[in-house]
Order: sequence, then C-alpha cells, then structure tokens
Amino acid sequence: MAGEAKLSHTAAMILHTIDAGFGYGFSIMETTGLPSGTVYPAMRRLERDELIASQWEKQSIADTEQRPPRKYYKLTRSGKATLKAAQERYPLLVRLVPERKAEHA
Amino acid sequence: MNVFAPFHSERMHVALLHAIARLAPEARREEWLAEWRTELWHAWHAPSPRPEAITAFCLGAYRDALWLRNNNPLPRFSGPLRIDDRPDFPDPPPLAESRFLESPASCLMLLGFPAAICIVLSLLLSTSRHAGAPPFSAPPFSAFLVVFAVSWLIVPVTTRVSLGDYPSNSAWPRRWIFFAAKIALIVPSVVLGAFVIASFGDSSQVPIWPQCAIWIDFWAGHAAIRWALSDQRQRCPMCLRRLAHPVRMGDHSRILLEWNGTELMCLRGHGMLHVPEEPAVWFSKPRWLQFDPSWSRLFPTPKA
Repeated sequence: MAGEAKLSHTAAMILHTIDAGFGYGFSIMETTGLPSGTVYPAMRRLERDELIASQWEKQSIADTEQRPPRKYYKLTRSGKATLKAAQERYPLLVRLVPERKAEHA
Repeated sequence: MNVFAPFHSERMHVALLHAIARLAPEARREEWLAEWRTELWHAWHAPSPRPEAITAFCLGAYRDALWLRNNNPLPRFSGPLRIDDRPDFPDPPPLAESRFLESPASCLMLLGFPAAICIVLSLLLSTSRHAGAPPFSAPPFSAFLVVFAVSWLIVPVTTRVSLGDYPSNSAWPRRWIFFAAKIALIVPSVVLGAFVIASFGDSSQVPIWPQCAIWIDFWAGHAAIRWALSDQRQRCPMCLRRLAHPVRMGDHSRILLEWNGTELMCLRGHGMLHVPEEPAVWFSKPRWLQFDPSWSRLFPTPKA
C-alpha cells in the first residue's frame, strides 16, 4: 500500500535525502535547499504515513561531540519501496542529492 | 546601523521558538521544542551563519507547529463514559467546561460569593455615609433597581428566552428552583455591586462617576440574565449538571431535509440535548432526549 503511494517532488526529494544519509532536519534542509517551513511539516507527514521513522540519538554521543542530541530520521521498509517508485517517476532525483551514507549508526 | 539586529540574536530565536511552541499540541510540545532547539543550535553553528536567515529558519517552525496542531489525534478520554471496550467507537473530546460551574451546588456557591461581598460592602457604606437612615435609602439605590429592571426588559430582543423543550417529569420543580436561586444571587451582585461602585467614587472630582455606575448596572444586569438563561439551557434537566461533549451535526445547506445543530450529553447518562443551529418551524427550541436504561451500560455511575 505505502509502496504504491505517489509522492510530491518535494516529499520525494526529502525521502531521497534521508536515504542518502542526511539524517536530521537541518542537514536535510541544507542539502535540499528547501525552507524550514516546508521541510519539517513534510517530514511529519512522511512519519505519519510510516515512510520514515525518527529516533533521538544517545546523549553520550552528543556529549562526545559537544552538541545537543539530534533527532535522526531513517526510511522504513515501506519508505524504501515508495522511494524506489518515486525515483522511477522522478529520474533526475538521484542527481540532486549527493551521497553521504552512514552519518549515524 | 541595523535597528532589527537585536531581533536576530540567538536569545531572540529561542524566545521565538518558545512562543511558537504554544501552538504545538501539549502532549508533543516538549519534544517538538527540543527538536527545534537542537536544529537552532546547528543553524547557529553552521559554517558562516547569517542571523537573518536563521530568523527565517525559526519562522518556519510556525508552519511545523501548525501542522502538528491540525493533525494531532485527540487524547485518550479519561472521563466517566466507558468506551474502552469499544475500539470502533471514537473518543469524545475532553471536557472543556469549568469545574466550578459543573455541579448546581458549586455554581450557586460561586454566585453566592460575590453576592455576599456586595451585600456586606453596601451595608457598611450605606450605614457609614447616611447615619441614622435605613439601609439603602439613598436616592441612587432606587435608580439602580429601575435600571436593572430595564436591562432585563430588553433581553427578549437580544436573545432567546425559551429554556427548551423538556418532557414533563418530577424534576421540573428542582429545575425552576435552581434557576430562581441563580437569579436571586445575581440581583444583589449586580445592583449592590453598582451601588458600591457609585459609593466609592467621588462625584465632585469625577462628575460622570454615578452615570458610569448606572451603565455598569445596566450592562452587567443584561449580561447576567443572558448567562443565567444560557447556563440553564446547557444543564441536564434531571441532575442539573452541565452537559458536555458538544458535537456538531448536520449541514447548513440541508436545513429543509434534516436538522443541523449541536448535540450535548449528560455525563451521568440521563440523556442528550439537541440544540438547533437555525430555528425551524418544526424544530425551534432545544429538545431533550431522555435515555432509556439500555444506555446505562456506557455510564459507570447509576442514574440519580
């Protein structure tokens, strides 16, 4: 069901950016160039539709890097299937976002 | 010099996020704020941060909070209605009514408090300023009573005076006694309150002071009777407690085919009140629907 869902270009771009390894809101915003008022509500929608899932990183990791803990987003199984369908629909999507895998555990 | 520079500081951005957080649903507000504060930290610690751009970034939180507010599922209801065993039954919204007005006793106590204060104060003022004369014998007092009566005369022009369409049963004397008690407490609060206000002011320094007190008497009296009528309509005719869980029904455009208005329910399970949005010839007054015993399964407290 979720794999068949059609995404807007913006949502597909955000999904692709998360899959490329940009896991938290500000990095997604910087990478896509979209304004915060677009990115965050879109991520809430994607999370509500169970295409992405969020998780706070451990405090110890944040302490080591001397910054507040980040809330990371990652694709769910249905999110990966939806992204695959979106990439077929928007073939240029993969060129928009540089690859940066394994930013977080 | 940029006069807006102080508005682009990190402290102002944090304050802005705290203000916008009020829009987010309470249950998710703390986490929402934590996430945005983290994001703000990253915005300030990005290579070559621009304060104006970060302000714009923070303003985006407004849309995010608004989205959360509009898409927030209703919280679980923990009131007396038992619907936990019915997963297909939607949760009603939480109670919004004031607990001070919910029961008839607490409502009368709440009205009695200002009435008692006004009676005591006006007695003290009346005896101290007009020593030897009977209480409330000063000329303005009768004027306050007359103005108060006039304020009630215009009530039918500004609102409905009908209390609704209720089945005749043994509870009607209680209903009218409660209404009369409310009125009996409102009268001293308003009339003596205006009398006290007029007595406190010095009309030699502020010549319009007595007129102000008269106007306060007029509008407060009018508002008080409107409230008394509205409050009475929103009470269960059996237990006199405030009805709850208002639900909008129907559609304006189908007024000729079906009714549209609001349904309110007694949390003790006595019945439901249908209040029409637009009075029609076949449905002009609020109509009470008495529940039969089959409904009692949904309500844990036995009917009074």
